[in-house]
Amino acid sequence: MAEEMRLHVELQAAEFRETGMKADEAEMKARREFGHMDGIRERCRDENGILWVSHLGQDLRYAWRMLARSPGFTLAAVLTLALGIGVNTAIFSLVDEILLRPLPVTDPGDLVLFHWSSKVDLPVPTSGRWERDPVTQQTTCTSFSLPAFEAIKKRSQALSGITAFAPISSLTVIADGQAEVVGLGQLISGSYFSVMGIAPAAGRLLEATDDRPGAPGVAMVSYGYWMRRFGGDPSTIGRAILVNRVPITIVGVVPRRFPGSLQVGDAPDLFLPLVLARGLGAFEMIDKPDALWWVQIIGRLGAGMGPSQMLSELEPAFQQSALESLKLVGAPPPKSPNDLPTLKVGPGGQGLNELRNEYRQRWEILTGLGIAILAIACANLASLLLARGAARQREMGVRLAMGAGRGRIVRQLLTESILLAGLGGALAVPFAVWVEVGLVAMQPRVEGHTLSLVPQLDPGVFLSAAAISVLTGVIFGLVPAIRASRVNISAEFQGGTSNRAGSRSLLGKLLLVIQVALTLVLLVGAGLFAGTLRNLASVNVGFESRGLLLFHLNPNPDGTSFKAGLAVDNEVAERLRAVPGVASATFSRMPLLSDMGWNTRIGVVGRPPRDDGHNTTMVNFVAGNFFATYGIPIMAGRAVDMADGARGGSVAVVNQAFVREFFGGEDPLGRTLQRPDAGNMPALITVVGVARDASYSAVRDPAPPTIYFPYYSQASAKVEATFAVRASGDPRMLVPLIRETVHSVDPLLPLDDLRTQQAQIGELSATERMFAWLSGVFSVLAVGLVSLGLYGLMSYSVLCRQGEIGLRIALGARPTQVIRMIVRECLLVVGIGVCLGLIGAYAATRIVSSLLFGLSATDPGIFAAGGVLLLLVAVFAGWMPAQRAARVNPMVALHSD
Amino acid sequence: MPKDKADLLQGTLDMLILRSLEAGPSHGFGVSGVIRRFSEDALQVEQGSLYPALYRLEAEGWIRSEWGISENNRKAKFYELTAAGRSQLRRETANWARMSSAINLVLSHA
Repeated sequence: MAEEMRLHVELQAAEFRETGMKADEAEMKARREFGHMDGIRERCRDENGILWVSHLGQDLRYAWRMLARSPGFTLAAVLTLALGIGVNTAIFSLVDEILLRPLPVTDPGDLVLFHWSSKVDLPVPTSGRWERDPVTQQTTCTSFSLPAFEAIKKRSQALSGITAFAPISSLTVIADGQAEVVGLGQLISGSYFSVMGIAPAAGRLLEATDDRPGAPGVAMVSYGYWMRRFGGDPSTIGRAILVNRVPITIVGVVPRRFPGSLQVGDAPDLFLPLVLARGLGAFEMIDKPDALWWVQIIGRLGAGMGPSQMLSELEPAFQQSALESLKLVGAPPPKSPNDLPTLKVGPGGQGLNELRNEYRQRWEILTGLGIAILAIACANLASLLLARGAARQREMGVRLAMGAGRGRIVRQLLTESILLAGLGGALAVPFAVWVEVGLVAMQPRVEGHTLSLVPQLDPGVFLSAAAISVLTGVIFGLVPAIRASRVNISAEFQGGTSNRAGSRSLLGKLLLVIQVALTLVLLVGAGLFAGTLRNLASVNVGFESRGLLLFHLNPNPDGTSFKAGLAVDNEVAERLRAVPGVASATFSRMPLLSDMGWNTRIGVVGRPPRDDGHNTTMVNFVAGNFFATYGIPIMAGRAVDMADGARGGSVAVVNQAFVREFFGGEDPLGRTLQRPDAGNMPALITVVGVARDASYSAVRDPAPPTIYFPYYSQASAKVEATFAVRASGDPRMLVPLIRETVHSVDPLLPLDDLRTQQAQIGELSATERMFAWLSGVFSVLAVGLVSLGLYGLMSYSVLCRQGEIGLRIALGARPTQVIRMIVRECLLVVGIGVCLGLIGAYAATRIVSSLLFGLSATDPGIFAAGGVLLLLVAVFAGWMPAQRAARVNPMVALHSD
Repeated sequence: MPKDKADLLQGTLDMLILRSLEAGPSHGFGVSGVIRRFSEDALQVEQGSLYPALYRLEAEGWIRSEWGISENNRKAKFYELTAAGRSQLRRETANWARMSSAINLVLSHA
């Protein structure tokens, strides 16, 4: 190209020489006539469409300079993008992980989880969840007895594999002479890992030979536990440990990604063969383990056999074993064969599913929250870009006048938008990780299950959220870009900002209406949850919850020697009472207000059974000083204590709700209660006292009918107990003394779950607190964005209408009238947004109504407060631009157009 | 630089270049010389427009170029009309004729 142009100059010079010029003069003239060679060359390149890459570099550099020049805009846009992308990436990654993703096993779609359903209550002891269909009243459950598993396994030729497993909690592990309580373990049948189809991370898998009676005790540890407890040391394989005092050899490590097949969020630290269940004390209070329904069954479908055909082959074997279970517990067989439970299968690729359904509602709300935030972020980004585009019309005019191509300017603005989106996206990644970790930490315990997840960002989710934001950036970056490139240059230089303002601010107003509406929805949500927390905090729980310190002891985790275990508990309680600063100490089987419960069927001797079928009561087993320590007054009769064991006979204290429900107000003292499912506990109980009502498992529920038995009558194999220590001062000061005391009784007894009663109550409302916190933080952010947006919009509008305002003032409008006019415009935008937002909130808050307490999901006060708040924001945001409008000098304004 | 005027000039320049190459292959200087001579010095093509136009026409496929030797024995890029360029020239000439006669009609009414 250069060659070609040089030739041109040479030929031109030769021509000039021919006309009689001097050589150097001719060459100079030729050069001058040719013009700027580099400029022409660049335009040639443009024509050819090559070297756009070098333009891209130029555009990026320029875009960077422009962004750096307006740091306020850049910061706002990048943070908005990071917020929108980050929050959504975090929420949807977790939704995927918790609700959607299958287990990381071979062909998870081929796995089926067995369950049974029954029209009538099956009077067999089960551990595991029962679900009752509200419509058909059918009970379904995923727990089976071991004989049922064996029977199904024997006939399972249609399956390519079948395995059983069960959770086992509160394992006490002693390694290197140090005792600790491991939260959770999973018992598995020998075929478990071959059915799942996974390989060990280290060592070997548990196999069928490990699950035979008499086989040496072995276990696999989870990757997390291996790292946490053993520092990932390879010599952990082959190490001997004690689990619930049973000698166990660690033979392998389960891969990091495999969390077992228990409820979602459960992360068992130990995998042990089922055959060890009894030795580990898995069968609490059961003398006939074969009658207990406690294992879950997963099968792998073979090729060519449908589930229904397989079930028809397996069902008779299952029903036969159900009949045997009933015989074992001494229950009568069902009246008709139709009342036998039926065998079913469901998808098993996600392991147990019940808790996943519990999480579903909560994550649906979070999903809604995420979408609202993304929408607000996009609307905000769009208004920012529109405003910036408008503010830069003059710059565009200059660049056009200097000869920049229109396509080039559009491309330049697009580059800026994309650079912004890139910066926002880059910042969104660490932000998303932070939000995700925070969200997981904020997850409340559901029925004693902690959601322990390794937060992972889902690249697909990140890309979708980023794509939405980038698209917004591109579209709303393009609109002003195209407008700007059509700038009428001469108009720009006359200082005109008049004409197209109308359509721009209409789009801007629409975006703000959307933001206002969504912000109101968030505000109403925050208000509802804050009100719920306030209402929950003001509930009288019926006992003195302040100043109580709780901890958990499990002195005989293997279930042997109830008496020795009880002696340890008594000794600990005795010594605690002697500790200075301890006003009182006791222990009970169930902690109060911990979302856990124990109930039993009950009847009053001499009174007809209730016809409404409500014949269950909550149960607790309490040591001496229980009522005094918790501050529950005895209203009549006396409390129960350890001495009741020595006196013989079965006694109990009931609460006032129990008296109302079961005695109909008659005097209960001295009356006899009957427990149909007492097992090996006393079936006939004498009421010796009435306690004032106290909450049992949830603050939301009024005190349920409750029986307090003396602790010794628990007749359980395990002596698990929650200790309660009432401090005379600050309970936290007692923590080291309590540890010391427990240690002095048994140095190898791990003290678990130390917390204050207040903290435990707080945990009950963790869901509500999480939503209050999230919707609160996000609505504050959204209100901030809306006020900025309103301020920007109104400032721009005042600028555009300067001429008109000047005219009005010239014609005699007073400053207050001008101010009122501008503020009214602002109020109109917000007012429309508020109306839409109220409708939106009315629809949206229905999904949270079951989480609210003490107020309705459409609480008019909260709705009104949210609306009024936004209208106030509108007045404030409009005030400053309105003031500016009132100060418009009519002479200047009229001359500028 | 108001847009409409630039478009008109650009279109016309393309036509003039194509016309000047109808006589035979030529380099850029030659093209500008031909246009100047044919118009009896009324039309001066600026180099700043000429070379980008040549590149554009080549990208459109209306002309092609090859390196040859110029009259002063220098390496030179010679442009040559393609078949597509020939028909494009016919179209543009016809368009131009229509437009200029229309414009003349309007002007003669004044």
